Amino acid sequence: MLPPVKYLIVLMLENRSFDHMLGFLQSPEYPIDGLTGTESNEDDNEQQVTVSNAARYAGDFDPDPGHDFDDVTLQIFGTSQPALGAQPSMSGFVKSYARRCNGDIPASHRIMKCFAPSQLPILTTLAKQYAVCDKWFASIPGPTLPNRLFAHAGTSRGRLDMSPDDFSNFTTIHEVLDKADVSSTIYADGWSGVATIPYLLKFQTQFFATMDDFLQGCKRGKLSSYTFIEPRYGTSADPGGLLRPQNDQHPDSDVREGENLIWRVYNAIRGNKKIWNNCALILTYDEHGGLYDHVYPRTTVNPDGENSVNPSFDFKRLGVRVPAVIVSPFVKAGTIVSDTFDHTSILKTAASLFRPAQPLDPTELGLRAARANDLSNCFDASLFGNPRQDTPQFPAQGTIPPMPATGLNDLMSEYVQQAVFVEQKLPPGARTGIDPASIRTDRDAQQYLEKVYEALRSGAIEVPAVGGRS
Amino acid sequence: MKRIIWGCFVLLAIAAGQARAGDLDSLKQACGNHRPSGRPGEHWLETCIIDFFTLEPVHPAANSIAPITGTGFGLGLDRIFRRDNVEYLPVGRALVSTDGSILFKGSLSIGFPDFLHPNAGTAAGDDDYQNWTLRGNTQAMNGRDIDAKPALLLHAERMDLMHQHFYGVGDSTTQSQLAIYRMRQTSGGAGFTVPLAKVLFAGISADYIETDIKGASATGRPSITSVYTESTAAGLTHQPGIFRVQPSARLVWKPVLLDFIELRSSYGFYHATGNTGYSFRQFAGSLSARYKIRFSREHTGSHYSAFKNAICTPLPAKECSAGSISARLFAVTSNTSGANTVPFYLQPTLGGTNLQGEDTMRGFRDYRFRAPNVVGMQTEFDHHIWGPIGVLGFYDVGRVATRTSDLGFSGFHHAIGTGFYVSAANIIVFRVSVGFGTGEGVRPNPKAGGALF
Repeated sequence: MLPPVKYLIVLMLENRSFDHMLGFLQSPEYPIDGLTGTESNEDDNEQQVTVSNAARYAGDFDPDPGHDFDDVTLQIFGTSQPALGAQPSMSGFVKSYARRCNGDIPASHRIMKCFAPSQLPILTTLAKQYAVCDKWFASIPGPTLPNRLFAHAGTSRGRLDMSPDDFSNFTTIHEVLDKADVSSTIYADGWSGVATIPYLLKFQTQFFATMDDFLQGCKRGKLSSYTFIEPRYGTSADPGGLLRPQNDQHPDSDVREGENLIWRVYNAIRGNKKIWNNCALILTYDEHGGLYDHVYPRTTVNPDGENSVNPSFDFKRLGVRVPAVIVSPFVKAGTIVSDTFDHTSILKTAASLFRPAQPLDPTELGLRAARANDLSNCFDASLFGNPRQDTPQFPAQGTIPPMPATGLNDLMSEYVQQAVFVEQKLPPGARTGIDPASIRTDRDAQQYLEKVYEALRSGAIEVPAVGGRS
Repeated sequence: MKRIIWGCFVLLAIAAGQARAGDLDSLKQACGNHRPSGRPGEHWLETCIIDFFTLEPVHPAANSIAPITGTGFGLGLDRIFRRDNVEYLPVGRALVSTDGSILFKGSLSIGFPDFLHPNAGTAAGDDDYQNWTLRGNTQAMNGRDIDAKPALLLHAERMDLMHQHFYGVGDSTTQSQLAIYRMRQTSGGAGFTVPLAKVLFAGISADYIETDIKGASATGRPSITSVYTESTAAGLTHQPGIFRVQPSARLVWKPVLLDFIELRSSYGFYHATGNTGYSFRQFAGSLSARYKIRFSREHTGSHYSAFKNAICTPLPAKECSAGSISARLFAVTSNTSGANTVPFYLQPTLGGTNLQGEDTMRGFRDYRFRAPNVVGMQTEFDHHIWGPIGVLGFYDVGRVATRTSDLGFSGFHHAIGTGFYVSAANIIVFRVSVGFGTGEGVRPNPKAGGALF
């Protein structure tokens, strides 16, 4: 049973696997499905590489580990062309990373590096103080965009890649809730991956807001019923002070920036009793980013009958496991939930909470969302009438050295193309004047994205006059 | 008809100048037959004009040089260089206006890494972290906003304004007292600003200003020299060089209920060379705030008609925005020693736009009131209606005084007005307003945003 949650808040970070972030949290007293310390993968010299808790906050994953469909297939099956009916072995992570490192075998070993719990005090404290889901998988064995589409729309409509798309055919949970008169907002720190979806663009001032708006909303006790937070995917280009650092935790950015984002979100909601006593916060990651995990992905259902032809994939297998932590006054400390979840569980939970009389139909957000487990088992019914008030306090990660500018990764390149699509809907006099071809670094890209997003957020994008009943 | 077409071209050119620069290729693509699709786009003409007026590094420029002078046309230079974490922004303008006024202006802004706060904004343990990223918490460098950082500005300017208006000094002047003067002014100097704390900036500048005032006349209007004397227009017969040192401070923060509050102040030491009878000190301060008018709604935006959503723009959490109210309280006071006086051309003005390009009392004509001391308040309501279009209304009050002790909260002049604007990302691209209620007729006031000029 779900608790009386009025505010469901989702913070989806980038590209880290469960074992990489939380695996070493396992102990006899805290029996999550984590790491024993003996798990290993074979390298290209047929030497076993064992997991370690020696990951550095930044600097281990340059180049970015592969996480396209072919990469993930190799990571899961140990071969890039598994036989029909082959069982996942989670044995190809080191070999996959060796390909990215141009055959540099010592470098490929870094993919087995995981964090010691003491390195991630914010995520691990919240996990132990509230609930951890140790069978939460990415929705597909592939990259960011299709996984994030599943988190919003319950499907990627047969796509596995990061190619540009205006997403014109997608129905999202935001539209479903809106039609049920439930408020829903995406708070993004620079850009939202669904900023090109026409229905959301039509009501851009309602659906899109900034992190600053979220923090102010928490202070004022004014949040939408459903909140989806997108982190900052790149560092804003301030040559001097690095004032707005990347905080999505995408390798190879500094993980502590994302820890501090979690800290800020948690403290914002616990800082207002009106919000805290009625909320649930889902902290999760879009996909594993090519980093090691030992739990094989579960089977599932195809959401809408659409398959990928090249590469061939029927969408009946989930991606690699990602961290998922549920923070709420209705959750007992130390809760461990091993139900199978993927990102469509978010949609199922939101619909069940805010539209309880009308179960999610497969025609709305697909079959997978309709059949997904909701988060009922994360909550303790004894707390429903008496929400926890013992919100643990802990410090943020300290001062973090600034990261140097980097080239564009696939995600930022895709987001820039999305922003170009959106910017074309601005009157020419109001456009940024930035030539997308001149964008070379993540900072250039983030600054461009922020300018276009600000225009969108202010309602400047030309769309038909808004109003559902016009 | 020719005047209408010419006027439309000028407006388009001014609006176009607010966009950021493009290159020759994008100009060819926008204006020629180089479009990939081979067909003109929906906004091809506007895009073509914008690209024409924003070419980098040198581009045609069109803008008002100063109030009353008409629109100036010429060349502009804009460039940003970044090297070793230091940002360089050279800007140049050479403009000639329709009345023969000219402006030559060059500056170089250098933005340095924030050596006082090398890790500012990276420690989440600070609750005020978000204040550091407040929109608008930037320094204007040659009209371009950049992220807050220590910055050095070097500038030089020469302007020759053929027709400037003078209605006399003091609060009880009338329109019939209008006389015309010509002002040539050369200035140059340097300034340095630095963020001291997350919400506090400080700066200091040193400039040398040399002014030459001459009589002039316009249709039916007399020359200043035939109507006024040194006693009624201090500085009319002799204009000494002025050396100015001016420390300044700026405080900006974002409280829960307001969009922002900003406090600015400066204290200028004006030292007249050769004739110290024109030396004085001048304090300028302003307090600005903006409040967003929000209402709770019963339903989400899609459950209302387009008209209702235009009246109250849907926001997150079943709220809507009925616009915002901005208020700016400002004052300038001048202090002199003994029999010293403040030259009239360095006195603050009320009415229309002042020499610095700031709106003062928009319902009155430019420079309508002038004195060493000024106090006023501007309030404005604006509401975004659809896309980039919004409407506005304003109510301004203010007065001037020859002595600081005469400033008070009575005897204010009033003006109200209405208009519309085009904006993007909270930046005004272009606005047109009509002021009235002043007892001096209706005054239209088209104005570009000034992003590049």
